Amino acid sequence: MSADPARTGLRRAGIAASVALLAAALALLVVGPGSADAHKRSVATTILFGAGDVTDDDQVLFLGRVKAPARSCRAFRPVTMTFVYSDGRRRVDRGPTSRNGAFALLGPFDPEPDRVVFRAPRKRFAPKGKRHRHVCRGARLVLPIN
Amino acid sequence: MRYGSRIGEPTTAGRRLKRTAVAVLLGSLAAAAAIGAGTAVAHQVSFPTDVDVPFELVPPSETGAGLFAGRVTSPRSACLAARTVTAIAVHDDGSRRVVDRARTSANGGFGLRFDVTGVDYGILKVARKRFGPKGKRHRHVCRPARISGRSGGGM
Repeated sequence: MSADPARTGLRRAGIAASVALLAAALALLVVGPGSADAHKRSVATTILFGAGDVTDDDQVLFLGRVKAPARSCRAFRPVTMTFVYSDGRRRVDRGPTSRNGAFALLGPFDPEPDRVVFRAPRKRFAPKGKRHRHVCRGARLVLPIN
Repeated sequence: MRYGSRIGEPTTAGRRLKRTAVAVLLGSLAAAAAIGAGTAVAHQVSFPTDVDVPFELVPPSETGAGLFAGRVTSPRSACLAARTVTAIAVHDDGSRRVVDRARTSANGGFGLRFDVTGVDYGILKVARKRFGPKGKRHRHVCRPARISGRSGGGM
């Protein structure tokens, strides 16, 4: 029984279509990561120190700001202030930045710490559940005292 | 044979019961009034708030963004954290605009950053805050505060 030429042609066309689909899938796999790279998903954040002073009631007030190209990464970022001593560390204050990225944190300056560490944790700012979630990268600033 | 008393004619036991009920009612009313008055006097429901800007970093030419460090003080610690602070800039031409908004830290600190170009003076407003148990009767209030001043002159 010989094969029907019409059916053979159909089979060949099917194979060709499958190969084309496979090639397209491979191409998507190759191009995919490239386009993801082009889409900026994480935004750098920097903590800048402004000034510090001891208040009348022996509290130290530190002023600074969070710098980031995206407004969502500057506004209302929680910043923590930790005092580092030779024998340990203590979280002294925690507060959000202002709408424009400024913050001021205060705490008791007695005993005087060796270092003051400011930390702004990573923040997600795209709506949850969306595939292209954006991230403000975390930032850290170590301020040596004396 | 008659059981009980006629309608409108109280028995001795009934009279005694009525007297006891009246006494209990009066006693509880007096106690409630005494407790109520006592708590009203001893129980403070609103607390004052003060706001201060100890220092600021304004560019020498007074152009560009200035950084301001502020502090909220209150006798009640619950009135320090998470207070909303609004900075309003009043320009030379009299127009006013909200230039920054912040929330205080756990210890009452807040920072502000805004463009000081053409600003005559600034106003800082700390909003009223309610705290304490949920429900309408026992709410406590941190009173609002407001200061104004010129940049460089201390607010």
